[in-house]
Amino acid sequence: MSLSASQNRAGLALIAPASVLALLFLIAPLSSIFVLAFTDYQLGDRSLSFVGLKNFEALADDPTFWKSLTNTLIYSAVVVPGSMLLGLVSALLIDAGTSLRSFYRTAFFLPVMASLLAMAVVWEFMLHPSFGIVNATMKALGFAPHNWLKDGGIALYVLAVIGIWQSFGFNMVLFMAGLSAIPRDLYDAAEMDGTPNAWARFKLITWPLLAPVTVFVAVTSVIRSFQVFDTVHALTQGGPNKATEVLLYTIYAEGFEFFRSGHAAAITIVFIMLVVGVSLLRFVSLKKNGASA
Amino acid sequence: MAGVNIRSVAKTFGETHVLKGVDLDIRDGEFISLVGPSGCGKSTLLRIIAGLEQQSSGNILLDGTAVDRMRPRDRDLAMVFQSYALYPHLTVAENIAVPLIMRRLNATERSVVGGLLPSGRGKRKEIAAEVERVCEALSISMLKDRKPAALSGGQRQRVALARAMVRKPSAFLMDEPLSNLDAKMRVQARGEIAALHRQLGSTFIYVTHDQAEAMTMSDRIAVMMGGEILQIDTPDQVYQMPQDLRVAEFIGSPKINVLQAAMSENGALAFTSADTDSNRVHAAFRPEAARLAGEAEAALGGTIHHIENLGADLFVQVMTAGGDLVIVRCDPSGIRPAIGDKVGIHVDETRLHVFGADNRRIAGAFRLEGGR
Amino acid sequence: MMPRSFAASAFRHAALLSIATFALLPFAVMVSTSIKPANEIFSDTVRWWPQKLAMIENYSEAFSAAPLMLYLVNGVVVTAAIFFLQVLVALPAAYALAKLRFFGRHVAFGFVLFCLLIPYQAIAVPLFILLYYVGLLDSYSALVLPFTISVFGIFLMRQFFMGVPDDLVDAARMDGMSELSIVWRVMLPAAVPALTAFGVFSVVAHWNDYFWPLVAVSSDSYFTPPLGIMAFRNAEAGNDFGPLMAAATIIVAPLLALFLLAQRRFIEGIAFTGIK
Repeated sequence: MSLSASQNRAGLALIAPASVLALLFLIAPLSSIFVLAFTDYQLGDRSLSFVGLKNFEALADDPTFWKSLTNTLIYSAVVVPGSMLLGLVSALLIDAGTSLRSFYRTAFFLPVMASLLAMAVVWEFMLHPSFGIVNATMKALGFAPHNWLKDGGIALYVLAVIGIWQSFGFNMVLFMAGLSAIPRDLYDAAEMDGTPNAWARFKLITWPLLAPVTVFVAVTSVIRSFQVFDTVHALTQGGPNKATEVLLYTIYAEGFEFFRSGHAAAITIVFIMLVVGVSLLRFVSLKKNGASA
Repeated sequence: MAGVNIRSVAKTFGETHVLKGVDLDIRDGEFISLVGPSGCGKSTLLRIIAGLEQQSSGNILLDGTAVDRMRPRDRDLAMVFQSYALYPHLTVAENIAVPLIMRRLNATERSVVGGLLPSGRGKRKEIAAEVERVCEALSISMLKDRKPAALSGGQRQRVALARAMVRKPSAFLMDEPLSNLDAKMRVQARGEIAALHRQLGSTFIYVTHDQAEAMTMSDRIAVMMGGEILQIDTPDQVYQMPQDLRVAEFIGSPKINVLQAAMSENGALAFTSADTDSNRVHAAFRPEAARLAGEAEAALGGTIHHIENLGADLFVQVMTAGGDLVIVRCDPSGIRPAIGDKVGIHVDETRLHVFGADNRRIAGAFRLEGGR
Repeated sequence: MMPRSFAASAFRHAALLSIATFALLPFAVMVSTSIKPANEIFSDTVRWWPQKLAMIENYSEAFSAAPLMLYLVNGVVVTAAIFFLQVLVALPAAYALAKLRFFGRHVAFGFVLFCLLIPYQAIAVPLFILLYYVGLLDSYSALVLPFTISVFGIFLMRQFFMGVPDDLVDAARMDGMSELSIVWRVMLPAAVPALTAFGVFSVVAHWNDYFWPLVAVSSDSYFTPPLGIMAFRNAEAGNDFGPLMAAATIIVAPLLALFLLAQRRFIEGIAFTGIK
């Protein structure tokens, strides 16, 4: 047997287990999403029939879907800038000094490691209208207490704050890795070149050199924020009155509570398009950066 | 233009004394090199002059004014870094413009909207013209729109020089600016930097670990070791009249020969490693201060161990009976010695340096006596 | 850098401490409430340390009201099984993609890159239907099987293997090793840093995962820790906060303890898997 033929055989043999499992648990399910979305299938049915675009037409007329999509985008629009800014500020502040670095880094990373569900239960207690610490603090400072999770006007933003709390430490770690790759000499050179203050140095060096990391963090944050589910399911169940209904929660309710698989598949396709669309944006921006760097 | 005065500057990091009270007066327009092995404190001293680091004690004076509390920005100095420290995301022209932009434009003019302000636009035009002038002077105009990553080492080094020059600072600080170049480029760049110094007439403070760089470019050399300056002198003086054994050993290639000797009251020296009652000293002479002689007629002798033929010179390594390796320069056109030959070494007594046990030079005339 | 003034350093710590308060407050509330008796929890005054310690009561109540121990064991079994199987499947594939020339390797790698984009929640509905038809719902298999194939693991290990010198592989071949034994006896030992990073990523993701266990199992004998705490909250009608916080502490503690012990590894692992 020739060398290349033996490599060929070995290669195929080594990827065989992965291929079989991928076929079973990735390719087949992914393709069936695109089939299901055009059927009226409900779990347990013995047969299914194709209904064309009916599921999508139903979606277009479904206020819950639109509410869910809007809420997901609003949630994302709060959590992404919030967690990025807090992550970047934390990274810069930690990097600016030498004392207590690992204490802060560890403290900010704890929420990333902790089970979000267990912590959601803790947040629920903190936000408890009568004896939660948040309202106790509000009262002590002279503000009116709120029923945070039951008030349709603010519940989504409360969940967004929990989202920021949970994810900014992750962004901080990525930003710190990016900062450590910037040569210290550049800051010395900027000092000699007469940058008047830290802000000028940030604009001249840190921000442009951090750009690839920032794009990466942005894309990751957007995709993670689209996947918000745990806090919604545990704390608000999409309520009050759909105020916190988000895509993944709608998919869950349609697919696993009402078992309307076809409908759930149609929403899933919207979800997939959002996620893949954002990831592709990153490739575009990478190309642009790659050409100029 | 400015002279720089360094008054007992010390720097400690915890228990480590990086600089132990350094004094140095640099004249206006002078090219001075701080040379020494790595870790001798020369870079730290340069960074203290620049204001990038704060001394633990002592003062820095620029043009007679103490600048210890002044930020680097306000000291009117420019620096060329070993890594060049070019901003990787800016073009060559933008890199060179940074020092002018940071000093002449205010915060609004620097911002995105700054280009719209008439004052900002006028100043930016001026800056572009000055950048162009410097680029031409260093013949890098054709590189103006490139990013640093697209430049060769030599080109980056010129851009770094241009960025330092564009502002016409009162003094230039250079931190091993040639150490990232290959050997050939380095010789060429040495000439260019020296020419630049003559042309600008500014003060140059140049840090290097390469004694050849220091010797070839400087008006004066400060040899540093262990956080102290051992000697400040012209290249000739440092080479011919080293005041310290460590200076003698550091300057010059191949290295100076150092042998143990015993010195009697009347200045008579005898090479010996044996313990004697008389004054024990280090006797040193450069390879060109010695010549090979007949075995019997010299104060020193041994067997030829190895011959380095450099074309223009022959450096003959002789193993003495005492186990020292002595290097003697010979004229390649003369009689060629052979490895294994037993030879004597005649040392020119007027070019003999004697250092005491404290490494300091002992002045006076010496006479060599036979005896091994 | 010039030495920073006292004011700058004070500002840095003030800002960082207020962020740290935000980050740590829920943990402080959780632990503090878990050792308080009910009357102090419901009192108006905020007190971090209880006047009367109710730690033993709350924690024993937590362990007796729900099979917390079982949930923790389930969590360990499921995450360990997932990681073990992921490595078993991904390492040979990653080696093949990095070092072997075989028909279809570019297609296979393109496929890996494509699948990286798809969050698993997107295929949860068909996965659920699949497991329903083969009768595997509500079992350990339902929790583990869908995650045995990790395209992220394949991608990460492939990138790492690309950096392993070809000479090492050739030397192993000269020594008479088969391709499969090269994977386990040459590549695996070389890949320990990347494997640690992947392990951190996988264990954190699956220990904390809520969506899939919620979908896949319904009997509480298969509950993982996040499902367990939800069941606990719902069963206790959500108002017995002392034991509830004790239960939350118990469920959060193992991973946090591991993290505090090896925090550098964890953070580097996350940064490593993130940047690649």
